[in-house]
Amino acid sequence: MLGPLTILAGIVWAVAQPYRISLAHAAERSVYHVLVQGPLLVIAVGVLYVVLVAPGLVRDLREPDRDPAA
Amino acid sequence: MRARGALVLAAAAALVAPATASAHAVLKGASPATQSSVDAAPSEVRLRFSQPVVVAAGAIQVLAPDGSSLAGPARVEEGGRVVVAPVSGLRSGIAYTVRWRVTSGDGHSPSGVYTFGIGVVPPPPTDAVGARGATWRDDLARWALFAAIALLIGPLTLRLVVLRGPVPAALERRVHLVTTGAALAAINAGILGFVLRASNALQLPFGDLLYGDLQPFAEKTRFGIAFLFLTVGFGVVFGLLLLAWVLELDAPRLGALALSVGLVAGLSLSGHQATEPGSSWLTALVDWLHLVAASVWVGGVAALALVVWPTAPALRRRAFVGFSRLAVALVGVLVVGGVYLALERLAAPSELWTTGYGRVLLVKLAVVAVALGWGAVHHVVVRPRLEAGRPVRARPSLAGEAAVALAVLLVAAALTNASPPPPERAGDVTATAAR
Amino acid sequence: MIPPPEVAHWLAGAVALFVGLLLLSEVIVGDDIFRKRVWRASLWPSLALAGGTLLWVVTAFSTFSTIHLLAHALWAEAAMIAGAVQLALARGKLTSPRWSLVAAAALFFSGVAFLVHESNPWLYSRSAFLHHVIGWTLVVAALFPLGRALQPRRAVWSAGFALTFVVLAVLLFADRDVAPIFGRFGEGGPP
Repeated sequence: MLGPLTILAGIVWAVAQPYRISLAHAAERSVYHVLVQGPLLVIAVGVLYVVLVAPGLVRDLREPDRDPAA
Repeated sequence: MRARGALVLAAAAALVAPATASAHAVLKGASPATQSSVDAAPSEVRLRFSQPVVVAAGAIQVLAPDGSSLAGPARVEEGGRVVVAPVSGLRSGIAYTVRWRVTSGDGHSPSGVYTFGIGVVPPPPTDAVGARGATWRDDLARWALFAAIALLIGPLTLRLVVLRGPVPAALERRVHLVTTGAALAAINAGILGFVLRASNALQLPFGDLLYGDLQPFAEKTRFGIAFLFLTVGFGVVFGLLLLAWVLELDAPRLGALALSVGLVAGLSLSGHQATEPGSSWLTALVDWLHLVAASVWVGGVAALALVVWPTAPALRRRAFVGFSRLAVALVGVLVVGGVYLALERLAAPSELWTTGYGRVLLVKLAVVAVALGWGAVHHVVVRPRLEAGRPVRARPSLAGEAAVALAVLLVAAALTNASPPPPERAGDVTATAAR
Repeated sequence: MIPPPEVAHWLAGAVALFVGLLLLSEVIVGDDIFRKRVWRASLWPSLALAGGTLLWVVTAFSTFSTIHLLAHALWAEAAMIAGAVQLALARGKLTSPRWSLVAAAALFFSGVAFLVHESNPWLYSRSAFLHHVIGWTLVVAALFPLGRALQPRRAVWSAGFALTFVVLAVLLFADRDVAPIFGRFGEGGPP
């Protein structure tokens, strides 16, 4: 749940403050502001967690005796 | 209860309301620009800040080389973001110093100094009007940096070159402790030296120095640029050494050693030798080799006394004999490089006693002679005994040699912060700060 | 090509958020499951170590005032040392729970640096308020690893430590938020 909740938080933030998403008016911003934006970062962190960490954790919870090397 | 409610409301207001001034004002631009050379005398000096500021009449001083101030009363424009002071009486062919001090919306008072020239290249901000040259504090900070680098490179060389392969855990732990500590010390000594050098030019009391603008020093002086590279470089070295400790791998340590040896070039390029008229790529290269050899020698002797002797009695002979062989080459590089650099920097032998730089060099030569003599005794007396398997109490003597070698670094620090006599003024005994 | 300060703060906030998520999941699933895979246990300490190393770049470009330079240097050192010690714990090189005291010291001194960094009172400005909140958050949060060093089995210390990073992330996202001086929403604030 941690990952989806984080993604949701980022989406809520982006909806609540749409002016933070500067992709729509990229020409006015520096390259950093196009690439690095608060709500999108939060969503990216959530996605990273869902993709990288959560599946392995769930697997290890379901099969606690599974050999880590396997 | 009502008071608590008011506090919560005030806190919420502070968080929710779009802020006005948030951090303190930062100088974003200047006209004439920092360290620039302009064609014609300007009629005013304009400073643009990151946020509105308030100023007193004397917020901007434009100082001629004789110390006279040529700026009129300062005023603010563009809602307080720009501070302007009229100037008059500026002449072509002269460099001027700008000293400024403002108060930003958060109550802090940033200040700074820079130079510009009219038809001439201005001196670096470390040579601004009112700046003080290097003092004993700068020498001490530079010595701390030299010593830290020696304690980083020397033990790493001993471990990775002389004592390759498995070693007792106690020795390994001690090597990790000494080298990571030395890397951390190198970073902090570098920061201390940089701030001290800037403070010599800013001439601010400590409280104001905390808000002093260091950017002209970091970006417009060799010393500052070297500081940036050394800070980031030794940060990476520190990270590699921590990684080597955790993962028990030699590869990150080899990387740390190679990077540290490269970073020593930063010391060469930020000292006087890089700015003197006769400097060339060859003098810079020789100076770098000279410093690397000194660092390995001093740090290696210290590592024998501090690391090998107390933690690995079985490896004493191998370490001592191996390092002794290496030391012969190191001393060769030291002596040849030192003689070459002295010949490049001094026009005549008499400058050894008639100039300040020469006298510091004489002191250094004397201390080096003691250290080399001590090393020779180790080489001639201690080494054969160890090779013959006879018991030797060498630790106090090694610690003594290391202490003398560290004293060599102290004199070397003073020498690096001083300038050799210029060719046309060979009799001048004043040593000025390196740029 | 130097990133604007608010961008650096947001990136730091994202790293803190990811670390917070990792630590929270460790609290939820338990140490044994979480540390079953060394790479997973090593992830957040590695991030702290790498983040601390990257902070030296930020430090080198924080020369617009001495206090910024010193504060960033302290944060970089604290993150690297604490990260390396936690990495050693995750990989079994260190075993004593007392090593949590290093994390406690890192949080404490980082918090003190935030407080010293901001000499204005709490409600002077939004930035002053946030600096105080972050500073005191870190100082108080130092109690969590301290507690864990003394009572390693109590989950409350680990949970508090994990939530500290989530709170820190929120504060870092807010820290350079609408400050006009950094130009993000400058000249009049957000629309």
